[in-house]
Amino acid sequence: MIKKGLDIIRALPSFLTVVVMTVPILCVFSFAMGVDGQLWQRLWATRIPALFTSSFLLVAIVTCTTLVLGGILAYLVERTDLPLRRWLKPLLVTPLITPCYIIAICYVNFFGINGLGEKFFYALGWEITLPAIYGFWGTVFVLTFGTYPYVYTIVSSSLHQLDPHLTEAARCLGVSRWARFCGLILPMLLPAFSAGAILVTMYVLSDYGVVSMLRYPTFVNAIYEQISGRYNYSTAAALSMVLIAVTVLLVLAQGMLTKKKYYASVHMRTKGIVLHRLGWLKIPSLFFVAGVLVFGLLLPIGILIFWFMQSLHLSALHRIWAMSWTELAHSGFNSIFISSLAATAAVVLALPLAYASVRRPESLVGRVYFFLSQSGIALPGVLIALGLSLIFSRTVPALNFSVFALFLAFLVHFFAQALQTSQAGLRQVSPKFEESARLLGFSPIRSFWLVTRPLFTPALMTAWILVFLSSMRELPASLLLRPAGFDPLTVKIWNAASEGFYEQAAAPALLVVILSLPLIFVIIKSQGKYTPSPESN
Amino acid sequence: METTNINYQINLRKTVKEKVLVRCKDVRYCYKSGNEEGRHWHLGPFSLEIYERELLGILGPSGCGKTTLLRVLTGLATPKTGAITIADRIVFDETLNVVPEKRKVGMMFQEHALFPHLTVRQNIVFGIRNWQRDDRERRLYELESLLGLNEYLNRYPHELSGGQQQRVALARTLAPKPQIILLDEPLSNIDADLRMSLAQELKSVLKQTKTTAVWVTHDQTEALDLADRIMVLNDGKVEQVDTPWNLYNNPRTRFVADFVGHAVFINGEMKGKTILTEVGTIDYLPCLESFKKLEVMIRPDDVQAYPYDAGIGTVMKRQFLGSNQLYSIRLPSGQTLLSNQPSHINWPIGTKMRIELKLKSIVAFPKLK
Amino acid sequence: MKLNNFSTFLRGGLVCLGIIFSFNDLAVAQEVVVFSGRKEALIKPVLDLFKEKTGIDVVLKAGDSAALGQQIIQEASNPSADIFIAKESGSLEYLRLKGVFEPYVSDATAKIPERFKAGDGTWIGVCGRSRAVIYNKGLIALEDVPKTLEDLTREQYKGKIAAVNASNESFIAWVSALRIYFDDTYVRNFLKKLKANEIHLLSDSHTDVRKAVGRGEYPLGLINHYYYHLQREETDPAVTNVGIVYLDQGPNDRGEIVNVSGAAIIKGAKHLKQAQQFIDFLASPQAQQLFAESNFEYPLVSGVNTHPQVLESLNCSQASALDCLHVMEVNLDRFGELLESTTDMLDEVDWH
Repeated sequence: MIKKGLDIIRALPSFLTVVVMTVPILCVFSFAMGVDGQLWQRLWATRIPALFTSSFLLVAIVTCTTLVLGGILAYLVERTDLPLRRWLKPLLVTPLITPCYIIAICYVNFFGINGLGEKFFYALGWEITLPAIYGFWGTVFVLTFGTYPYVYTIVSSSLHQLDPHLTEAARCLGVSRWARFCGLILPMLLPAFSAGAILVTMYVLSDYGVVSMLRYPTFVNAIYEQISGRYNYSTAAALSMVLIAVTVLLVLAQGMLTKKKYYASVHMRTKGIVLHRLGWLKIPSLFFVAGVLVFGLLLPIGILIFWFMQSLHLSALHRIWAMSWTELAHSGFNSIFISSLAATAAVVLALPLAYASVRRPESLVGRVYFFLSQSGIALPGVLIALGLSLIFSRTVPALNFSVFALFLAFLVHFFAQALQTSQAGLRQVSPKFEESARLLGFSPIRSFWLVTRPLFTPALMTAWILVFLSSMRELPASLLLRPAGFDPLTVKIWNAASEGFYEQAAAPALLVVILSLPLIFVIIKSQGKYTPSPESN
Repeated sequence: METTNINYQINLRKTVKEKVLVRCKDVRYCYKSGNEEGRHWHLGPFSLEIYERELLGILGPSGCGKTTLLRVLTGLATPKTGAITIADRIVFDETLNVVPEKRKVGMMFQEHALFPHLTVRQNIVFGIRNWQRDDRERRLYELESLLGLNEYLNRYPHELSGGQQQRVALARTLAPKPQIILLDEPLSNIDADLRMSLAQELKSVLKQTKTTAVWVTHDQTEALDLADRIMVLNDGKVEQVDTPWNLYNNPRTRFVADFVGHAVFINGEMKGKTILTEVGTIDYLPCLESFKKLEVMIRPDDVQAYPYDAGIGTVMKRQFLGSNQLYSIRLPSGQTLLSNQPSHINWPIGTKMRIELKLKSIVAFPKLK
Repeated sequence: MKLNNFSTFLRGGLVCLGIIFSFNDLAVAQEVVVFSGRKEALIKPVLDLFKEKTGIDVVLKAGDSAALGQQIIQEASNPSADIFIAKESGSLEYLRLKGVFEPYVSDATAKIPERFKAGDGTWIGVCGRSRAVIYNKGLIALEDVPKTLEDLTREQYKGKIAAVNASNESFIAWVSALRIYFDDTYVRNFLKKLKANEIHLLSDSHTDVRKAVGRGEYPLGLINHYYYHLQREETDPAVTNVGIVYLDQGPNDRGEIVNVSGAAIIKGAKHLKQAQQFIDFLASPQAQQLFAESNFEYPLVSGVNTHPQVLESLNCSQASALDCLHVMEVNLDRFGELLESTTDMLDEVDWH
């Protein structure tokens, strides 16, 4: 009995965390329940079917394209004799440093009639008409190049750890290369692919920047328009409820599809892997990889630099619209400040939960974890902003549209990232280390501090960086919840770009990229140690 | 497995009564929390005495609760009932549960659990980091010369071989001078050709340092070779605690008989004061009169066999072990006997054999349905 | 990563946490908090000038009028904003009806014509803009450009017109104006006909419309007039080949709608004096001049000239464009009460 009571007390903080994480959504839900029937009818008759189809189609196609692209790239750098593959391997992750909506802003101006692309080719002496990038295929294009690294990193690390003996065994059994690939490698990579697919699905479903920049209607920008353009949240809440339902359905469906998970046999032996000889495909493959790097990284960065250079010599009229350096520094500070706040809080809150769930999985806390890890990232930022705004406006209006509200939105949105990462990290640290320390005479807390903490710190660091980066790039919640005078970089970029002042968007966008760059490399470096792998059952 | 203790007992217990260091009484353990009666206990109830300076082996198949027993002794696992005393100090009973770090019990884990972020030196002094600097350095010097570690002090664990890692783990465990050290399958990830020499080295270090130790293993040769006494565990129950000699020659249960050493069992029938078997009559067994059907344990060494055309046995299989050979001989009823023969003997398969039993001690168990 | 870094990070984060949450109370006296429905870049020159002239710091939150309006309504008991600037009179009127504005009348505001400010002194118009059609000279000749509202629904413009969606408040105000001038059935049919004529609704921003027309993606776009001039200011000569047409300008036609971008003081403003100074500044000739010059809008105070380029596009020889433009007679005061029913109508015809 006493033990049970203790368990409940221990679980209390995590329950509070769960409450904080879920209340915004419940609030949206209850608000939507109060929406009057006529509005529902009108929405079902006009907007919902179209939004449903467009959102679903986008998610489905982008998930497929990223799986194919990420899978091919992972195979090329891990299992073929592609030239320069050691260099290309880390480079292919780098498109992550540019947030997708910045890529979208760049491509909107690169493609299309009189776009930068045409000018570029014209300068080279070619007259080429590039099609505009707006709409479905453009959105697919940008999101694919922006999100394939999620699939690529997971699949390539899974391929890297795949025991070469398995394929050798199959070879000795006389199985052909193609059959080996389909029958052995693909099934072994299934957990990695499904983990990547979940990340991409959730990203696409909650994306606001790309779809609105490329004018492709989805639930998220429809909801955003309703929140920002109306004095009544009813339609927003109604659409949100449908989006929540869609999200839950997708998560469940993905859970069902990947129910039978099994681990690839992990073997860190890299010697003896027989590389697939590309032969005449070598050059085309190299071009393919280079193309991906150009579209995912070099071209957008190049365009940003081009704009930045232009912004240094503006016409008199353009200059009075421009942003000063102090303003840029100020919003850079705002971004770093709010993001590190959210990241620190997320890690601090995630630590006890992760510890409890890994070390005592049968406890109440451990069970709570499962719920949390599923819900967080799945819900778009725009919903979390709406939910928080609804709560605060009814309870403490002073906190609505405050730094605190923004902080809470980031925390709720990205908590699951911190939780999953620290959990994965903790799994790598055997409890035997802590037990050894205790048997050598140290108290549990001191054992944790002396042994587990140093081993666990890289994972916490990764978790911190992940939440920091996500918060620094978050767009819709920043736009909706920030207080006056507290513009993060994303808001500066968006405000400038949506009004067509691309030269002004360049400086803050480059600042985001520069700030992301070292952090992403820290994560890539720790990749080997803590592979984001699917939960084992 | 329920069997009755029925065999002869040759008492080989040491004549000089040694000092008891660890005393466990009626200790029971199960994984799940809760306190319902009549559940399945994962370990115990068992009672055990460990003498000072002895090397106690704990032997049993995997999953029998060997590691759990160690964890109970260290305090990393909390038993449900019972009492544990270490060096006249109660560390566990109904009212008291001393935390692991206060028990002065050292443990070497199966995978050594060397701290990967610390060098060998830092690993070894980890448990004595609060000592005076001079004492610490002296202790480190003692251990490094005892175990021959001076070359590796600044390396990290992953740069060491399995044997080196094991020595470091031992040094780390010994450093704070624990009252007893527990070794959980210390040789499990050592290559087979090194295992015996390392085992001897470990034993000699333990003896040199006059350390009381509990050595868990599932390998009977290792246990028989090293331990002063062996406790055989099966499914959480203690089968027998005895010297290796007694365990081999006078197993108290059918399980022990089966698990320790090669043994076969042949059916027998009680007839007056003798047991009738297929291969002859065996003499008087005083306490088995109430049973009709018996199983008699026969070790390969006890079977004398000669080629003989009218013999009842047939050679079915031979296993060449180097210094000796193990012959499988089938009896008319289909039962098989094992016979140990010198390596120069060469009987082809199918040879008819005459068989004589030369039992040194008679071990029999009632036949189970 | 060194371990120490992390704990330093943690500690630093906690200290910052303490600082930020005490920030709110540290109200700096010499500042004014401005919520602007106008885009940041389009209001900044004026804010910078105000800062320079008065030394008062401007804390800006730029966003969508409705979102900012929502915030003002929610914070009515404890407002964080001192000033609200809206793109057009509908939002201002809507919020006036909610009672969240503080009336303010001064010599400076008196110079603004009555029809461009609230009768009770709660808000003033700052500068005027009219609806217009931008066209790409390379794709369509001047004589083929629609001249009247009804022309827009003609078959020949099928799929050729770009416009904003229902989230743009200038567009909402335009529809409200049409509803006042005509009646709901007429307007609803008109919008449906436009939809049937495959009008392209790009986004909620006129910038997208002007850029699309400038680049030649569409021959025609429905905009506010100054977007034409902004397009002409683009540095790339390939995209400035555009022209402008004001609809219904014939002597007997109904004229174009002129709306105002305006500002108001929030009731309970924490920096009331600074806010009043700010309003006075907006009505001052200097600010009016700046709106006219930097953003090509119509200054409302007499004595400040409209930008010559705007006058040129109107073939106007007067000093103020408002004297040349044939303006549709609608009462701006009604936009507020119509706002919600107009957005409902736009949702109904699926203007998304």
